[in-house]
Amino acid sequence: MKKQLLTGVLAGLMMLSCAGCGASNAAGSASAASTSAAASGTGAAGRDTLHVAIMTDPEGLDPQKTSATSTYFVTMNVYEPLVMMDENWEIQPRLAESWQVADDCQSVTFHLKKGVKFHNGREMTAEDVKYSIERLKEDDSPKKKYYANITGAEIEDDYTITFTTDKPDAVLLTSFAYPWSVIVPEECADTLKTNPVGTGAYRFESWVPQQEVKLTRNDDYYDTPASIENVDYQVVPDTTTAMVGILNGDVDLVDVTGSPTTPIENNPAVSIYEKSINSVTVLGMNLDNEYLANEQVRQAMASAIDKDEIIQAVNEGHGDKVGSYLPSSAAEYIDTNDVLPYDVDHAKELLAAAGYPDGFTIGLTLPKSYPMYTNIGQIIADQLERVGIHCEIEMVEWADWMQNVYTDKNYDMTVMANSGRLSAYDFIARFHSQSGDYISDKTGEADEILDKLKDELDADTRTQLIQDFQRLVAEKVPVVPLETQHRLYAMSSDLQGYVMYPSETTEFKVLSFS
Amino acid sequence: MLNYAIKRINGALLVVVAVSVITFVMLTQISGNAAMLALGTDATAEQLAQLEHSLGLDLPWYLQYLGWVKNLFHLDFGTSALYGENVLTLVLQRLPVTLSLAVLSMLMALIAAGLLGVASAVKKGSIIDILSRSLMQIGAAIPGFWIGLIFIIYLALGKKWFPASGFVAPGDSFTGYLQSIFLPSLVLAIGEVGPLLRAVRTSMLQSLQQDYILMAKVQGLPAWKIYIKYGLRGALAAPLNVAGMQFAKLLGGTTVVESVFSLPGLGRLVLVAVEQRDIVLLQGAVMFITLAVVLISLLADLLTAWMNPRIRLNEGGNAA
Repeated sequence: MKKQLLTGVLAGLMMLSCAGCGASNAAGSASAASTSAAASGTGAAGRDTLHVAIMTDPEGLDPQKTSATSTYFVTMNVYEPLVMMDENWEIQPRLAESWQVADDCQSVTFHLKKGVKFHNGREMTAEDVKYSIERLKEDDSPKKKYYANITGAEIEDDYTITFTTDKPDAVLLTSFAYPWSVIVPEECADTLKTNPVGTGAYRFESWVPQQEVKLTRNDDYYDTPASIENVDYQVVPDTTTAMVGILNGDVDLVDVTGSPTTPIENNPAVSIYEKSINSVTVLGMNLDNEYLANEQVRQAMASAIDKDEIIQAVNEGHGDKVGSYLPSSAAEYIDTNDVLPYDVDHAKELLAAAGYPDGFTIGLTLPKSYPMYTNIGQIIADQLERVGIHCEIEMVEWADWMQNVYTDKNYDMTVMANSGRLSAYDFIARFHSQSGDYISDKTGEADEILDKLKDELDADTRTQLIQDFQRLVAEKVPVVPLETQHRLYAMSSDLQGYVMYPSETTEFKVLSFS
Repeated sequence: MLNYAIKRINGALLVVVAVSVITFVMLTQISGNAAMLALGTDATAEQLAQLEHSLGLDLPWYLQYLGWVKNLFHLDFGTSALYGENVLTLVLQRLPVTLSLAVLSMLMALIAAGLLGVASAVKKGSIIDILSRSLMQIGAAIPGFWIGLIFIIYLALGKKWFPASGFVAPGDSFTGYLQSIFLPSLVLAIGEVGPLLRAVRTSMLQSLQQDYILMAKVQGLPAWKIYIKYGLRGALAAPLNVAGMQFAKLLGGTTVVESVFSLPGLGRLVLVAVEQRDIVLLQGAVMFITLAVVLISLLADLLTAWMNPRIRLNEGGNAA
């Protein structure tokens, strides 16, 4: 009901946006300065501040102690990691100038840039690097398990540090390229959550939870300083309000993934940046369930689901259909969409062969905090109904989902996308039968490939194994992979230089107003 | 009077304690907790157990509650697990927004309901009466988020009279402040005007049937004196009671409007505290709202008692 109303309102918004085009262009930057709540104080030229609308609040500003992407979206401009994965999936230097990974893949030595200063004025040294990576292994660090293998840190001098691992790790370097593997000063560690101190191109100015975060250019930055002087994040929980903001000139940048973009699509004042994200949306299945333990039932489900319809209806076509569990943007990705294509008749045959010609009833738990996944789930329920499988949908709060689905594995099916990883192995490791994960493949069929991958160091063999894994998932269907969504950012058309990295972050230092 | 006051204050304290216990039990008993939400979908079961232990989330609820109460005696409202910020700071940051919305929307609703209510009672059955009764229905029937979006699209995007979102502190710019709270207050007022209008109209109708109104008419007093000075005065008690309850409700219940207009008010703070299982933050915010509501009704009761000796004497007699 609410959705229908919103659609109606958006249709009105679209008409208005067409009618208002001339006016909003003529008003231009003047309106940005006069109507925006936060723009007061800047001059009429007014383009020294980037106004970013964010739907959800950051969960504190310490990226090492949260798993919230809303936090990384802010902190990536304040803190920096040693290295960075660029949009072409190539590792680029940040705080490290150069590095050597040992041939046995059991250590990596970083040579740090000299003269890099934290925002409190102190120079960053190898001591800080050691402290920061060790901090990722504390109990309240969500990514703890990914750093368990890094067991030693040896400081050679102030600008040289070597990390050693317990077991060989072919993708060791990627561990240092995440939005949470950033370097923080120890003396500020206890207050980073409210008062972040990093080395980045922007320094923290102020934060009022649920209202705004303000950053300002770091003039002591060791590299080319940011072009835009201030960044002003404003929390705007409602997408329609945010879209009005961008049409009004109050907002320069907003994530509109999953919202209807028609009102802003043909507006010369707005441009849209689109890029596929580093993740896969799946119909997750609990293989302990008696129906789902049956491979033919899972295959029948995969055949019964029309992924194109889902992508059209939920993402307005902004998504790539996938047949297996690896993002379409990953280097090792292979197209497995024709393994079990959409075919209702085939699905019915498989169900009959599995002994359920009349179908059955099964639970589908959907997190209502993520409208995208609940919408996908409702379409899936409808599609499965056509082959006789009736889904009992249960809409739960995010905290309930975390408890029932993720922690207790007390569910039949769900729709979710797990956060992206910079190495394919880290992304698919949760399918190991012993991983304890909510979508772990309990049949154990993936274990052999995953165990080999863990120790394999040869790049070509690794690629081969990752492709074997994709074929396995496509055939055996431990989950039904659905799509790699595209992230859509709407921005004022004079904003230049926007790039989203595979870690789904953006550095605002490269942005400028034309 | 003193007896009555003490009795009411005791009752108020009981309410505060009961609310704090109920809130605490509810949030600790429902599924999910702050540690789980902080770690997200990458942590192992062992790590979760360790973090729950170090945060004290594995303790029974009454021990957690006693810990919270103990801190409260040191005037420490605790630190929000979600934001890492002092709870009192977070609540106080939101107060200007919530109070502004509540006060301005009640003013709007009171003025509209007062004028229309008196007019429709005096001219019962006239076109004004029919219109204002329709307004009651419409105000109650229109969802706040929808009318809010309509206002944003036509008055903020189209006419550019108001900002689409955000809150401006009165210290920064008083005009900006009024502009930023006008539309959300109007949305709230539209929702509240119905019950208020009904209360004014009904009690005005009753008041107009009193003998002293007839007397005033017979004496040939001017119309405004009959209706406003004598009529409305006698009719004020019920609408003011309704207004007080609405005001108390607005202090904690403006979440939808806050979200549509991106205002950082108490409603959204409570919402996020529940969603994120941030017990300490929720306790702080709920305590604050409860205290405010209890104080308002306490003051209202004491005021009424002070003005109206019948209540005072009756209650006093019962207490003794």
